[in-house]
Amino acid sequence: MSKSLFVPHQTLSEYQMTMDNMVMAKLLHDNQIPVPDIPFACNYREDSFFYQAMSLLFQTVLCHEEEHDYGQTVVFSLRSSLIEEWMDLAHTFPDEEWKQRLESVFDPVQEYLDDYFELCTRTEITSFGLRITISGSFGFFHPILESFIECKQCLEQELEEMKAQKGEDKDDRNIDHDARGNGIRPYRTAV
Amino acid sequence: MRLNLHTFMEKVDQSCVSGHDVEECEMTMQLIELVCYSPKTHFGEVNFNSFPLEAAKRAFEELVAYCPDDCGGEENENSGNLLLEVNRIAHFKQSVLKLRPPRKRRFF
Repeated sequence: MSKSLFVPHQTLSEYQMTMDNMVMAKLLHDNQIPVPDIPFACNYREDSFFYQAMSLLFQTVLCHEEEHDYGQTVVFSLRSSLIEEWMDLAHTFPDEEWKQRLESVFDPVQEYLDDYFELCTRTEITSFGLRITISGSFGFFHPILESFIECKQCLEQELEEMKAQKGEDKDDRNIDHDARGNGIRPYRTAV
Repeated sequence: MRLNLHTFMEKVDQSCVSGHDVEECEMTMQLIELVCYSPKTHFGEVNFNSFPLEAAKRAFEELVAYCPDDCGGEENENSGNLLLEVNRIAHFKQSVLKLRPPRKRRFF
């Protein structure tokens, strides 16, 4: 049976990149992040929705830092209040526990190598956010975005746990202090 | 040879595709159609509640698995690929539309 359209290599790669954008938009939508009303067609890697999706995910602006090998390697940084808050709180824990927490949260995003194509992503964690290096000429971004969504969810969960743990510690300290003073358990504890 | 209706119906049930698979296939094809043929161009025009994430991922995998037509992608090589199926349906639609009688011209 005949076809209506001849699909050459160039057209097919445009379809693939556009579908990659569509999957990323769906990922954002499923995570209750509003998708902006922008064109979804994509012809080049630089036009990918990934960069905007990352900004929307972390509610921040991406800073383009460096570019090497005629655009094959791109480095950009991301400043996030969520990561900053997490880092500040994580530093208050003992060294070993802090390292363990850091590994468990950022492990899925630290290094990504595409199974079929040559796209490679490396993520470094800084005190204020992330520094992401993308290298390779051809590949797709939705698995990377998925791992960042997973990382963000893990961050939020960990942050809540740490806050609760710190809150409990504070309560215990208040009780101890008061018990030393007059031996009466305080009615209200400072949060 | 006598035909046992019960056995026959069992065989039909075994060989036919399940309703769930058909639904998934339909959604995947609709997504491929949206990307390749639809006049829709913006995310705002897409109803993201109408398809699951799995359908979008499968549509992407189908496009990745398609062998381009200028690189020796014969129909046999791409057989079963949903992009090819969408393409065939589009051709069928075009053929049907060609059967319409030409409009009568009015001369004033």
